[in-house]
Amino acid sequence: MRPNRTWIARLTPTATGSIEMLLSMPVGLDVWERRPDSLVVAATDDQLAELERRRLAEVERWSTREEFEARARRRQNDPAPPPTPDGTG
Amino acid sequence: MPSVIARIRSTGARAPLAQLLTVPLGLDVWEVRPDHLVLQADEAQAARLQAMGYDVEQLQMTDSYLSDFATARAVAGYHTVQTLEEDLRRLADDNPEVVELREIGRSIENRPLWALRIGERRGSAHKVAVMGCHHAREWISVEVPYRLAEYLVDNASTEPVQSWLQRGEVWVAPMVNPDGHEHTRAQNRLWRKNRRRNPDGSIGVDPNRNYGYMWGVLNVNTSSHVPSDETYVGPRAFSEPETRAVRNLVAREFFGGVLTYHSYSQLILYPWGYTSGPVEDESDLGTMRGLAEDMQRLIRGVHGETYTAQQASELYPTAGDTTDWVYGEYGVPSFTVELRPATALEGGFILPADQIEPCWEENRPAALAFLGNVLDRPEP
Repeated sequence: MRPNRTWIARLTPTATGSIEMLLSMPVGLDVWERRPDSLVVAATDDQLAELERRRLAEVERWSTREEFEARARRRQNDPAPPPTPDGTG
Repeated sequence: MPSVIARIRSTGARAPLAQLLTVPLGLDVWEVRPDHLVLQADEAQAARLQAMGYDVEQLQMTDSYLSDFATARAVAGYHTVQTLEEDLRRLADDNPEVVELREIGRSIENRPLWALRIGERRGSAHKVAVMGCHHAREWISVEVPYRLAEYLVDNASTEPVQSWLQRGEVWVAPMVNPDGHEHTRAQNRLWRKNRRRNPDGSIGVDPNRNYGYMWGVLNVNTSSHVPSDETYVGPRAFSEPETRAVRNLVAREFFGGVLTYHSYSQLILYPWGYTSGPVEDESDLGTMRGLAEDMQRLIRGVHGETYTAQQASELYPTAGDTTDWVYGEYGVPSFTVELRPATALEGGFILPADQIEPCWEENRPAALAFLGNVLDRPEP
């Protein structure tokens, strides 16, 4: 069975959606940041796929949760430029 | 497949280090040093490197690395449950005339919930509460209230702190969710909730959705009725021992204001969170908005960082949080301060330890302004 990974991702509402709609849906998103035009969330593969399937948001998967943690710790040990939005570090 | 953190050294010209940075082996290189690399690799990759002639020294399994914060440099400077208790006890023991350590309750896993009562005069009508770490992963939210307590004690003979402590009390509870905090150190650095075992087998209630003002009126991502969700509001208001402890403290002491620290996003949030409508009492709204904007200016004046003052619901809707409950129930100023950093790209919940001090430095004048707003008021 495919593991249901958790991603740190940016959600940008599509033309048919809105930030308020994304926030108001009870789909279990862990909202980390609200920006003027997007949300930064922690969400599983299934949750993100559902948002994409329903065309509610464009999903930009930055990194898995584990990669995010590892990068954050590396940055603490060896201060370096922050990861880029595409999660390539 | 299990992965490892490994130090890779060259064993000669046949296996130059620089080659490892260019060959498409799918390696996750963490550090590049003149004489070695540190990288994350699965077992097959590690075996292949050895076959290629490199010296592979396994430092740690990756899973273990992720959970092993206690010895990593990354945690240096942050309190643990144990070191916080030791430091709070030391503050109280060294300054018995002005500080008292109180156990205000016990967590779901039976850890003591500690608060310092700082002040020379008991029973004063001038009291303010400062809290931290409702959410386990927000480590910096322990450090700012702890340092505020330390600052007040260290400056108990200096104005304006001296007058405040002569006429009133400051209660500081730096870690409302010790079970969750311990879990972030030992198991899952990004754990948020407490450690309640829910009937469906999931773990955790969000303590900052479990307070009893407008509790449960929303069912959205940011205030959820699904137990496995990160913002699960719990089965009923004050279902959690951590929130009951805060409720009992606030109900007993009649604070004139409550300041609660969280991270991240650099915001100063005032009620309401449960609705996009403003606080109905225009005088209260003006007082809170004005104070929040003063705090924003004071913070920016230290290191130039912007903490935006705004109504809590402008961030996202939250029902049952501390700030709404305190203002809704008691009608006193109540703020949530979201500390550094501003974005996930700067670490999000995992703030580098070298930012603890600057974060405290910039928040100090704002916290003192909040205290002064409450403690300098005329006697009721």
